Amino acid sequence: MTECERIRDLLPWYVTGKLSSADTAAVAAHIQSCDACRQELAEVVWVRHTVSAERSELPAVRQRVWRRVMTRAGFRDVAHVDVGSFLVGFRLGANARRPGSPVRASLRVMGRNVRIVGSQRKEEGGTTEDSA
Amino acid sequence: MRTDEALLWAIGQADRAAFQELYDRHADRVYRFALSFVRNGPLAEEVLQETMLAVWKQADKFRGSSKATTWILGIARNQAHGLLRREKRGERLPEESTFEADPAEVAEIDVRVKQALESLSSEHQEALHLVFYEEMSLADAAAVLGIPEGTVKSRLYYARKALAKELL
Ligand SMILES: [Zn+2]
Repeated sequence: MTECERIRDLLPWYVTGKLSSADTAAVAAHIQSCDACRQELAEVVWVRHTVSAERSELPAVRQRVWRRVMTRAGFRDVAHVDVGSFLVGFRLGANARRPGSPVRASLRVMGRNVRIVGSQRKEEGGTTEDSA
Repeated sequence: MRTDEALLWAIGQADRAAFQELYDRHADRVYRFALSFVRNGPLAEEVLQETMLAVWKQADKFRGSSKATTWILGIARNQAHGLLRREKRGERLPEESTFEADPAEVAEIDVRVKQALESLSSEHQEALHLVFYEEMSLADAAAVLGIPEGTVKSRLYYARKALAKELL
């Protein structure tokens, strides 16, 4: 592999600033003196610009898919509840409802069983919602 | 702010709040990565959905030997490729809710650029996206793609040359 080929392979990370300082210095020194690699560098800069042109956020996609993830994970009613609410998502076993009794069963959270022994698991806000 | 790794550990303990935090942090990234080679809003959303479900189910398998972002995008890549394969074989069942992606949400790129990117193989598209859009290091990109670093380099080179040929 020629020095030019080695440098050429590093150019994408030279442009995004992801090279070690040694490699960065090597690339910088090489393109000072090599027309062909300077040309390659210009092309890499152009490709980067082309590929990363758009960086806006996607709130609608995020929320829509979150509701579907919740539903698929086992929450039938979640689609009608505000995203971010801590009220949804907890299905306690029957014995968990008895006041004062420690929860010994497992708690079904979003389609997954979480074993709870002795004390009730508290989420932020401490709110749970039973399902029959 | 909790680190991604701390969130994954908490998700492994079925912590829903942690899951939502991780979701909010990575959803756009996963969606855009999927979109970079699926090139179809609804399909990319399906990839996001399946990826996050897999994260929920497998968070306790995350070992911390890789970065969380690398791990999540690796899952997304498997989901996306699986989806494309099933679609090609005509096995994929359509999601119940069909909808048109809001055009304002799909990256607004020049039509010519869009066509040129679409003409690349998915291997070339995803490599371009990870390195230039996500600005991943060579090692991280290789980890997500599951290929040697040398292959990442050559894919980027050929993808760049193909784009230049189309557009310059
Ligand atoms: Zn050179």
